[in-house]
Amino acid sequence: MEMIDLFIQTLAELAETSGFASLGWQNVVMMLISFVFMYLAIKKGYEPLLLLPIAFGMLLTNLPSTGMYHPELWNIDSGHELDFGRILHEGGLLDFLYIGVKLQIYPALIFLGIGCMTDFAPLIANPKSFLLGAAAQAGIFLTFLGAALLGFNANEAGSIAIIGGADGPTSIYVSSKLLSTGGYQVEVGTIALAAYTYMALVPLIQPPIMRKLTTRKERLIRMEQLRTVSKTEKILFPIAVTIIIALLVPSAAPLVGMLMLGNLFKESGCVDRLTKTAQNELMNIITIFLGISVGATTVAEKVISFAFFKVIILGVIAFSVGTAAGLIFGKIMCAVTKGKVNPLIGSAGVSAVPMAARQSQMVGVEEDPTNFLLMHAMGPNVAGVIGSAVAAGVLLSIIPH
Amino acid sequence: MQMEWSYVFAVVISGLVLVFVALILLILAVSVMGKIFTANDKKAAVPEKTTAPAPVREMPAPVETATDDDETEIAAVIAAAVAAIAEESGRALRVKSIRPAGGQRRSSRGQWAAAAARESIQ
Repeated sequence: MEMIDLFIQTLAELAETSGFASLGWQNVVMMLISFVFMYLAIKKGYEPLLLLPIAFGMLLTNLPSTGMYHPELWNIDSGHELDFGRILHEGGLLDFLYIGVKLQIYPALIFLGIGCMTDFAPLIANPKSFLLGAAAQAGIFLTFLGAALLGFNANEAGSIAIIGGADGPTSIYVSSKLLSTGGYQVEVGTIALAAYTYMALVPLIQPPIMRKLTTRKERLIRMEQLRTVSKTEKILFPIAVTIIIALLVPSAAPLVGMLMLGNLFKESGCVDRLTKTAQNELMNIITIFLGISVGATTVAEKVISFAFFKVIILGVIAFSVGTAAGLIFGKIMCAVTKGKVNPLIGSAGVSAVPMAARQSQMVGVEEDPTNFLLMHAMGPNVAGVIGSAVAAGVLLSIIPH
Repeated sequence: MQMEWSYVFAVVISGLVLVFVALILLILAVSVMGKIFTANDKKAAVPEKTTAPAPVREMPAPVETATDDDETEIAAVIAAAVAAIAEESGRALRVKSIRPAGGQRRSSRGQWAAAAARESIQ
């Protein structure tokens, strides 16, 4: 009899401590949302390298009682410092991985890998492309205005606005700095989720805007072949960009510096092993850590909220305004150069590389299958990466955090 | 805490201006760098031209309409094919002109290269 009582008591204790006992409806909703993102990543192929770990992190964090992520360790009051000793003592696996996000290590290392994979030759051959990369950043700053209209404070507005840069690591970098203390309506995870979702939706968001804002005659414009860029120019470019940007906007130095270091690795041709590691193994490891830990921050109370709904709306506005601003500047350049610039390359100024440049090519090909705009669009596209990193630095230097 | 509108506009305007200033500085730097290197390339190319011996015209140019590298390459391939046939048959053949079929648009690259590029982008 005593044995049966003990057995029942053990079962009751197990039931009480199991996840089922503390499973709320919000957890279930969040798990369903994570399934949607997994479906988009696996079946639809939308940014799977990041959406899949983010979605799985979301699933893990919303399974109650796992102890893998503790939001209370990260939500500190304004004016207080994070207690890393407590995090290391009481934290779970995802808390430890999240330290790399909170200290802005992962975005900078991702930029190192991106630098190794980026060819800046189209931009060096046609430096005016920088203007298109700058124009597309208008989406960031106009969305800051929109976020202020919807009642967000400066730190939240800055974090939402950076989604318009269409650059995941930059969004994480800025939001983890601006939202470093607790008490905000939005969280790094929700910003990253919105940013990567919109980057994945580039082929759906951009083409209608591109067709609407350009005429058929403009879309048919053929651009002159770009000049060949020498190896010395390619080596000097990352050094010059680092010096100029770090002197002008020091807070952009971590992102731009790492991007350019990666590019110098590639162009120098003397550190093949480092280049391969930075663009393959290191990048893949960081992507896993970044994805799963950012996904872990998407706890129910931050996502199932009106604030997140507003982030989603502002995110699509940011992206669309950035695309439109690039196109309009492309039209201005077309008029100034008397039809030598196809305005379609302007939309590639948002830094979603290379999806945005590919859209310029695809929309151009719809009108003339023999018109190849891809290399011309890669100029503004890589300029957009530098532009959004500069915009991030500007936001960080203006907004107190 | 709601932001003051003067602050919001200050962020928007100073943000946009700073991004443009930074990237315009980069345009200037890259343009100067490009000018220096293209000038150097031209300087290096000039002596080569003057010292190079006059080209020996062993064979007459087979194509009258060839104007760029791509077309010259195509013409050379066609001429080589004709020469091969001529050798087999023991007759002397001469390519007088090569003209594209009517109705074709001029493309900056060959049709095969264009098709391959289209396929890889899609």
